[in-house]
Amino acid sequence: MWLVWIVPIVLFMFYGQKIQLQITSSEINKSLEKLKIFKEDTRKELLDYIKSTIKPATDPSTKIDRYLEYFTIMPVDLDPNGIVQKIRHIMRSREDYTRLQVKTLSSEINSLEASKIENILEAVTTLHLLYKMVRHLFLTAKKQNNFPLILPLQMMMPFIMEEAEALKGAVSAFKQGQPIGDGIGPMIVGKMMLETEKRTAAFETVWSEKEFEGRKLYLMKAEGPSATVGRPGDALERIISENKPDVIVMVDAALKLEGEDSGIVSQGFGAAIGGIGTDRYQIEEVATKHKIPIYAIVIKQSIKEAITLMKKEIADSAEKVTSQIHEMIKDNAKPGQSVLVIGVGNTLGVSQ
Amino acid sequence: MKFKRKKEEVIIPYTVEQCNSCNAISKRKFKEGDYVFKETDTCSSCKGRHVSITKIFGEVST
Repeated sequence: MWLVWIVPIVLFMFYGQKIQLQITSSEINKSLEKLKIFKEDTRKELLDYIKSTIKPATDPSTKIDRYLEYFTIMPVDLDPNGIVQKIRHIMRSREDYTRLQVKTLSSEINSLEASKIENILEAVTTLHLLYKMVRHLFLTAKKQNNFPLILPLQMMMPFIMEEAEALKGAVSAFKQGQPIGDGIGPMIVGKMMLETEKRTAAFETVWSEKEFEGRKLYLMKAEGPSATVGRPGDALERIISENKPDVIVMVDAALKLEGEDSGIVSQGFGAAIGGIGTDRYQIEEVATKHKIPIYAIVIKQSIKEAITLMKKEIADSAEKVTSQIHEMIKDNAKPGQSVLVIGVGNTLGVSQ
Repeated sequence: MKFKRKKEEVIIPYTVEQCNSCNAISKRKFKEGDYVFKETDTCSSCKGRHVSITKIFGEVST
């Protein structure tokens, strides 16, 4: 009778890790299949969109497939001095090249369509990369029969899948030119900019002036309704060189913590801007040099909400945020002083 | 024990328009070409020509 207990104990002692590897592998394999479907579906969506909207003379699939395999080599960080400028240069080169590649698809493409295609291309490329990375880690662990190697992948899979689902959802919003959750900052500042004279501050970035209870407001956002985040760092540098504001207020979307509601508004200090960090660095540098305090107002949302069609709760927070901006201006700038208000984020589907 | 599969949410995009003359607000389904702050048709309440899109958002269909 005691043998009944001994057999499984011995079995698990020698083969426990292999059994666990099999179970974990099958779970990861399912997610990998899902990732593959996402990657292929979004690629097809992109190609169909290009064919139906800009009607290129030649089949764009070869060009698109080649683009999906492009990589970016980050600058060496053994000596980090000046690395931000190097990263900015590399990222700008990539952006410029992408823009150029999209424009070569058709001579009749307008800037709105081009920006939408650039954004969809970015989402498809990221999905392509995610699939390849997960597949690499999975196959390496299987090839080496190495259980500890598969554990970090198993832990990361839910987060990777969350991002992948968000990217897949983003393609639909980009295709239709609908505002995304990340566009809440530009939407709030865009409303404040209505009926003012808009001027170009930097590439794809506009600004205007307005009076508010004796204070001068400089309002800045990416130029909508194109799918762009503009160049807030360059624009801020230019505005500050011409008109030195006393306070900077930045409005942006921010990732919520689990358990927090979407659309809740928080205030804080420092430059509220995401991305790779080059714009934040530039804004912090200029503000520090001129000793200008930076205040931030953020609208909380999940990663999926940030890159897919704006949810009602997020859109409804606009009035609340506007009144908080006004309050912040009155609290931190005296009449006669000036405030720079920046709406940070992708301004797709949001004009000004 | 049976586990219920999570139902996939269907999100419908809506456009909210507001008349700048009479402040009448109307909500309709999103049409391609809509964008926030775009000047649209005449107001159905006051026939004014200052109607603009104030919001575009998605709501889960019930």
